[in-house]
Amino acid sequence: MKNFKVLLVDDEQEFIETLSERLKMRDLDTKLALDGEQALEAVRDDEPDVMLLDLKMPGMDGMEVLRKVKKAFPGVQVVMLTGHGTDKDEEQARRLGAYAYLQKPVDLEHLVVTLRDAFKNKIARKFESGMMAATFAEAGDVKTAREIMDKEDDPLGQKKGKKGRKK
Amino acid sequence: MEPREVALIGRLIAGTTHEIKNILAIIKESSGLLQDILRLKKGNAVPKAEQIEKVTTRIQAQVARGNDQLAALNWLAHSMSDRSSSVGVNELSSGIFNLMQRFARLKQVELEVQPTDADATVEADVVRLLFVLVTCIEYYLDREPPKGRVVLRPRGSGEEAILGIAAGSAAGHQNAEKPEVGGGPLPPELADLEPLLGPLGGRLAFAEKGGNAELHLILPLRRDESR
Repeated sequence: MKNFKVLLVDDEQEFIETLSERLKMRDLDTKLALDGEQALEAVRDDEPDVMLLDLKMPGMDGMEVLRKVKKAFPGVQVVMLTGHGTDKDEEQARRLGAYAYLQKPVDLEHLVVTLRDAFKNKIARKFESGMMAATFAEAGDVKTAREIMDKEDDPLGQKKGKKGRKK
Repeated sequence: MEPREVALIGRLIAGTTHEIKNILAIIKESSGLLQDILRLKKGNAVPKAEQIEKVTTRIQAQVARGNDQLAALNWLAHSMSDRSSSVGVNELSSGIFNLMQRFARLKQVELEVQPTDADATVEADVVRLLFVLVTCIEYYLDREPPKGRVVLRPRGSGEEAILGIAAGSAAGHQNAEKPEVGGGPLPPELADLEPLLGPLGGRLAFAEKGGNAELHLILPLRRDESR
């Protein structure tokens, strides 16, 4: 599973720079953001597949970034990584749509597995949307089918041909 | 201890332990990167010395940072176990500076201490002093815009010790040893602290010189230091 895109968001620059180097050695494509505003700009410029997001940051905190990203870019899978977290924070993050909630310092191999699982989750959800759209289209409800597909990107190429030809 | 003093101690400890967790995370990733460089190198390629040097320098810097944070926690613990004691204004300012690093960073404001060459010692309830000073500094941190600056200036002045706090443009100007006290009334958030200072013989006041206001926490010197 090479080259899925990960955005690392944390105000500790040395932490995410080091983590980025290690993830790149494991064939993950990484970009960095040092605060919430930078993170939102990065998502708008080049939507990542997965975002690794710190909770406590100067300015806009992680919960606010999570809320905004899940609203505008629901396909982005968000993994929270924090040195702070309480059970209450985890509950709130999951309610806002976080895929996972991890504590620093984190075992890298566990993190990589979590990031890959998050990406697989993204693909599975898009596949489900695609299947749902196809069902509506089969029933003649093209409008609904199109609405479902317009809500999501289509990494499986189901928009390419009438019979869902792969790329 | 008053409930709000206990709450403040809790916040200071939480902020410092969070910083330590971040430091450990950086050290963990850096040491992991060294392992990766050695294990994941292609064929017989020799790892670059500069790359190793960069990572080991990073680890050393984080250990130094961690040491400062632990020194701050240790100072706080000793202050709590020996509340009525003497403390130098430089030591007090340095302790507060280390404990409040995270607070300032989250506000995106630079916190700075300008220690005095002539240290002055006060005899007081250190935890109470800590509470008053931290509350005053937070008052400024909350009002400074991002990239602003708050400066702590401890010094002795005659029979008194002064812990001066300045922000914004006033942070760039050093007030004279004997500033003109009487720069206006205290806002309610700070006036609230005055009853705590009474038993310590201390007071809060604004000092103004050349249009730059500095908040002063004024305390009597320890008796054997009075001139």
